[in-house]
Formats: sequence, C-alpha cells, structure tokens
Amino acid sequence: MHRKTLPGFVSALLASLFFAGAAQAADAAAEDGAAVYSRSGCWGCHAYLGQGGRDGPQIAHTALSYEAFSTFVRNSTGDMPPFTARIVPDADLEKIYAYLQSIPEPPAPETLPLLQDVFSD
Amino acid sequence: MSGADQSKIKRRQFLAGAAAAPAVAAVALNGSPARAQAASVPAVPNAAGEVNPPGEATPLPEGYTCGSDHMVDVLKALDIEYIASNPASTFRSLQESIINYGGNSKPEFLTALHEDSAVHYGIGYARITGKPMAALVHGVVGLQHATMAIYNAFADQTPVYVIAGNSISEWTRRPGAESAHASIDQAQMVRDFVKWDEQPPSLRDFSNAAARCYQAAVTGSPGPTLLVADADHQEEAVHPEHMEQLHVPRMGRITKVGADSGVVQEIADMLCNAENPVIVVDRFGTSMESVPLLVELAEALQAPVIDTRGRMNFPNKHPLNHTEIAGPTLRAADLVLALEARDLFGMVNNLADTVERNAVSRLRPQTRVVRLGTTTLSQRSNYGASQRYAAADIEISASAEATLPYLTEAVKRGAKASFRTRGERLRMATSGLAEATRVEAARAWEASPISTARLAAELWDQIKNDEYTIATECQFQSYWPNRLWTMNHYYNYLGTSGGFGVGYNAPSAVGAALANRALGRLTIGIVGDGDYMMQPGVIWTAAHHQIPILMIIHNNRGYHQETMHIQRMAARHNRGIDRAHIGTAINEPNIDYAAVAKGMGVFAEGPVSNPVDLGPALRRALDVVRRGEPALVDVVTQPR
Ligand code: HEC
Ligand SMILES: Cc1ncc(C[n+]2csc(CCOP(=O)(O)OP(=O)(O)O)c2C)c(N)n1
Ligand SMILES: [Mg+2]
Repeated sequence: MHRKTLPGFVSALLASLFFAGAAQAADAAAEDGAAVYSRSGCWGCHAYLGQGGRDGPQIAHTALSYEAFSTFVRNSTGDMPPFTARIVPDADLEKIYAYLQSIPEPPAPETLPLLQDVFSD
Repeated sequence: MSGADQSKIKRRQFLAGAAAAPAVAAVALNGSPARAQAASVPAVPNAAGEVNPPGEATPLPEGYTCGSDHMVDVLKALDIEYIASNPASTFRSLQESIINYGGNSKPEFLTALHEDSAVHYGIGYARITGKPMAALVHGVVGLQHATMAIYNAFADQTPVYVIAGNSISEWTRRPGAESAHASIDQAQMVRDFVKWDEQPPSLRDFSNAAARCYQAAVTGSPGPTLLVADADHQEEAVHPEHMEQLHVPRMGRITKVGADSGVVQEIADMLCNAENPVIVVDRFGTSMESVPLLVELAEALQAPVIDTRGRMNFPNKHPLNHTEIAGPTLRAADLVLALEARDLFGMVNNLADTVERNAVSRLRPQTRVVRLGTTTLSQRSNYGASQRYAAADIEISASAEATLPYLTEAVKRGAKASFRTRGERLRMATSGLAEATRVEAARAWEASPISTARLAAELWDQIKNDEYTIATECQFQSYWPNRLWTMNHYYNYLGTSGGFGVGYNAPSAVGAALANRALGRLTIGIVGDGDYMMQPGVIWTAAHHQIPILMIIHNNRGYHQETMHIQRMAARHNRGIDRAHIGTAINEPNIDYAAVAKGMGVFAEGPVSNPVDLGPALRRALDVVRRGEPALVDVVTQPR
C-alpha cells in the first residue's frame, strides 16, 4: 500500500538509507521505523533523515526521552500539529523514535572541505 | 453629426487622400484609422470606387511615417533597453517599428513564450539595474496572462513598464479575434495593483502618457504601470508636416526622497538613547549604495541587524548580523528601527499556524517601534499585499536609503562610549554561528535525495571567486545560500517575489541574467520544480537570446509547501497523513527536466540524485554558462 500511495518518497527514502549507510547500521526495528516514519509524514517538515530545515527542527538523535518525545508529538500546540494515537499509534511512534536514534551520525564538519571554505573569510 | 458618422467621413477622406497628401494629414493626427485599409471587413471603397482586397495593406505614401514609429522614438527617449513580448496583432505595427524603424535596439525585442514571463523578466531586470524594462502584451488575453506577474511586481515595489495593445474603436476592429481582444477599459483588470495606467486618446497623447507611466513606475514607491497603445494610433499614417506635433518626452534624473531633518534628528536621539536598539530590515537593498549605508549605521550605533531577506540588505557574515538569532535579539530590544519593512507585523510577531491564529509579540510591551521606508506609499485598496496592519510609534514614509546618510551622521554626533561595550556583546552573540551552521549543514551530507545544504555548499565551491547573483528566493532551500555563501553586495541576492505568486523564480532569474550579461556577472537560479513548470519555456528564451544563466531545479518532486499544508490539515482533522501526496506530488511519471531543457536546445544535466555526482555536473554546466549560454541542472533534493 505504501508503494502504491507514496512511491516517490519510499524509493527516495530507501535511496537515502543506502547513501547514509543506515541500512548496515540499523537493526530491523529501526529499519521498519524508516517505513513508518515515511508513512506517518514526519519527513514533510523534518526531512528524510530527520535533519530538519526551515519548516521543522532536527529530530534525528533527539535529546528528548521517548516520553518527552511522545508527549510533544501528541500535545503540540505550536507550529507542529499534534498527532493523535489514532493517526500514529504508540507502536508506530516507538518505531519512529528508534529509527530517528539509529540514523548514523553525520560526518564531523571539520572533515568536510566544502564546509571549511564557507567561513574562511 | 454623430461621432460615428464623422469617423466614417474621416476614413473616406484619408483613403481619398492617398493621392492628395494634405487631406490625409489633416485627418491623420485626429486618429484616422489607416489600418482600416488592411481590415478584411468592412472593406471601404477608395476614391476610385475600388475596394481594397481584404488583408492587403496600402503602403504609406512617400514621406509619411506611422504612429508606431513615433512610439518607438518615445520608448528610446525613455531609455527602455528591452521589450519582452509574445507577438500579437494588437501591437503588430509597434513590433514592426521596433524591429525595423528602431533597429531592434533600445528597445530590443525579446521573444517570451508567455506574457507572465514577459513581465517577470522585468522584475529580475529591475532588481539588477534599478530601472524598468518593458513587457508588450496582447490586448485583453495577453494582459490577462500577465496579471500575476504584475501583482508580484506591485507587491514587491519593483518597476515594470507594461504596454498592452488594444483596438479601441469598434469601427476599425475586425470581427473575431480582434474584437474579442479589444476592451474599453482594459486597465480595469489590473488597476488595483498598478501604480498608474493610461490609455492615450490619440497618437499625440501617447508621449505624455508614456512618460507619466515611466515616471510613476520609478518614483516614490516603485511599481508596475500600464500603458495601453491603441492599434489605430500605432497604424496611423502621419504626414511629415505633422511630425513636429508629436512630442518626444525628456526624462530628467529621478531622485529618492528622504525624511526631513527634524524627524531624522528625533530618531537619531531615540537610537542613541536606547539601551538595545535593533534594526530590522526587509526591502532596503536596491543599489550599490544601500548595503554600505546600512553597515555604516549599524556600526556607528553598534546595533544588531535582523534581515528578513526581502532584498540583499546587510552582509550575511557581519558580526552584527543577528538574523539567525532574531528571537533573543528582538526580546532584548527597547527600540526597533524597521527599514523598508512592508510586513512589520510579521517581523515583530509570531503567528503559529494553529486554529486559533494567536499572535505572540516578539517584543516586550514597552519596546518602541520606528518605521522608515516607502512601503506605506505603495498601499492600495483591496489586496492584502501591504500585509497586516501594525502600529509604529513613529511612521516615516520616506526612502530609507535616502535618509540613512543623514541619520548615520546624526547618530555619530550623538555616539556614546557605551556603544562599544554593546558592540562587543553583540559580536560575542554571533561568534559561535559559523560553527553551528557548519554542524547543521553537515547533517544528511551524504543523503540521497541531496540535502539543500549540500547543494548550496557544492555550488558555492564553484562560484565563490565569481561576481555572482543568486536571482531566486531561497526560503525553500532553508536559506542555505544565505547562510553558507558570502553575500556582501546588493546584487548577490535579489530577494523575494513580494506577491508569493509561484512561477516567479524562473522567469525573474532570466530577467536578472539579462541585466547581468552586460556586466559580465554570473547568474544562478535555484528554482523549485513546481515553480519551474509554471514557465518552463523561459530557458528557451534564454537560449534564443543567449542569456547566460545556471538554472538549478530544486527537484523535490512535488509542491512540497502544499504537501505540508495537507499534512497539517490531515493531522488537525485526525485522519492520518498518508494521502497528502494526492494533488501535491509531481511524480508518476517523474519529469525529466534535463530532457525538457535539451529539447529546447539547452545544455542540461540530471537528474542528479547522488551527491557525489553533483560537483562535476555543476562544473560542466558552469563551463557552458561561462561561455555565455544557459544551462540547467536537475538536482533531486530533500524537501527543504
Ligand atoms: C507540518 C509540519 C510537521 C510535521 C508533518 C511534523 N512536524 Fe514535528 N515539528 C514541526 C515543527 C514546526 C516543530 C517545532 C515546533 C515548536 O517549536 O513548537 C516540530 C517539532 C517536533 C519535535 C520537537 C523537537 C524538539 O527537539 O523540540 C518532535 C519530537 C517532532 N516534531 C516530531 C515529529 C514526528 C514524530 C512527526 C511525524 C509523526 C512530526 N514531527 C511531523 C513540524 C512538523
Ligand atoms: C500561482 C500560485 N499557485 C499556487 C500557489 C500555492 N503554492 C505555494 S508554494 C507552492 C509549491 C511550489 O512548488 P515548488 O516550487 O516545487 O516548491 P516546493 O514547495 O516544492 O519546495 C504552491 C503550489 C501559489 N503561491 N501561487
Ligand atoms: Mg517542489
């Protein structure tokens, strides 16, 4: 069903996992979490690897405990709409959380030559 | 005698006069319809009782000119360099005069594949040059196509000179298309969002009307204007003796108007006495002078600057640039100086996208606000382009750029020792930004689809030694170019569309590239796939006219902004968001933007979805651009 309704995104996400090397690192639950993350639409504002952007903060490797994470998702009153358990059941949210924590750490910025130049002057 | 009867007689006189020149001249200036000769119906008998065959024009008698030659003289006097147009019969005479009589130079005719892009070209062009170029659009239908671009120009205070053809007299319209494309009051459809419109009643009235439209476009708060050029006036035969009655206008130098010295001193005192003055700025940078002027004020006062990026306003890496830490800086403010701040309300309030739409002020209750700028001068009824009302303690409707030299002088006179310690504190606050930005940019560095930060960094690596313009809005790329690149000059970044009309970016970037071509400056556009598909033909116009531009498709395969809206609604309605792609995704099939561009004769790369391939693809495309041609790179990206 996901492939039918979200083909572009699912293939994009699988590709992102490949390049991020997450496929090797993640355990089975987290991998399933990637699919749940995509189906639940969190990527829309937090991007495919939870890195965040203009429309939502980074949620990969969140410092929030699962309880705080879930409390926020269920009860947000600000710029993020709240997601009830009817839309994202607890079991799914747990998988999303596990997935977000499993995403490999990005390279250290000092190892990326392109990011050295940008603030050189 | 009724007007209609008179006009019949005049037409006969004119036609009879084909052999008797003075008689022709006597009526030609009064608007006699020379083009009736070419009209298929009704065919009018000439003096010999013959009927001109339908569609066959009689050549102008020796020594005569046509009205549209005069119009070209006027456009030359106004120093209009380019006129972008989709060809049409309501201005066929003017088009012919431009390319032949005018030598297709000043103005040069640019072939636009849509009237929307014809006008949008003018926006990018004006951002670079500070002056309008023209768009020439067909009567009624051409103007209807052009409306959104005119609205964008209006909402963004950008001068664009729009000329629409028309066939005012019912007696000389051919049936069918020509009648359907005629209108009594054509400007009515755009009157709410042009600064001025005029339909001169005779050829003789053309020049003043044209000059007034130009003047209105560039003075006070700049904006689009509309001049309606009647086809009868264009095609009118003008006798040599009457040429001198056709006046060619002279345009003097146009200056910006600053605030009066009394109020300048008053604000300077307020700024000097404030503990934490903060400058917020939106559409300030309009010329080479602007950015240095704001730097001088900020440094004289040692005040932070928060830039909402409606233009290139302030160097992005200046230590007093507090854009990235706007929240705490605004909360600390006791005085806000808002420069060219159209959306003052949005700059000093947070309004979450919730059912309640509660606005929360970003300022403390006692903070005073002074607004200086021309935005209030552009206020018009009906449309919401002037944004939500926000009260300022002092509202000064004058050019911020013209006022700043005097304001800065007054601030320097009142400078206090405490400014220096404030400056040190403000610099400290931004000292960690470079590192934080790097950390953020490194996230998803290797991801495919490619992250917008990676896209910006790869691009910067290859253009950092160029004099460059990014001619497109950057908010959909999470402002990565504004955060990573070095932007010091007003031409580095051109700001936003103003009217938020999608389809702005690609054509206005081509217009900027047109202006930059003469300056040898590199033009980059990063355009959303949705935005690009509104006017994909602009890349053909760039190829046809050899306008060098690197057009990058930020291809997130959708109208992502709208995907998020549907996600928000579905969550709010408690229905799950797994169907948010319906009506918002641009996939199945994916569009091959490189193939589309190649089909228009343009060098293209992509789709590039592996970040490792991006640098080389950009390099190959830039090689083409540096040779003077357009190139397109389709980059499959993260949503934002
Ligand atoms: C429509 C956009 C949107 C969608 C979809 C969305 N979020 Fe958010 N999210 C936001 C925004 C905006 C914020 C910041 C809200 C704030 O600061 O009040 C946020 C914040 C968060 C935070 C708090 C981060 C922190 O460190 O404070 C978490 C956790 C979170 N989102 C998880 C999720 C999950 C899980 C999903 C999918 C079920 C999701 N979001 C979907 C927009 C969105
Ligand atoms: C003329 C017009 N039509 C529709 C919209 C609504 N709209 C706002 S943003 C957007 C998405 C544009 O797509 P794209 O350029 O690909 O940007 P993305 O959000 O995908 O990054 C749309 C359709 C608009 N603002 N203007
Ligand atoms: Mg898009």
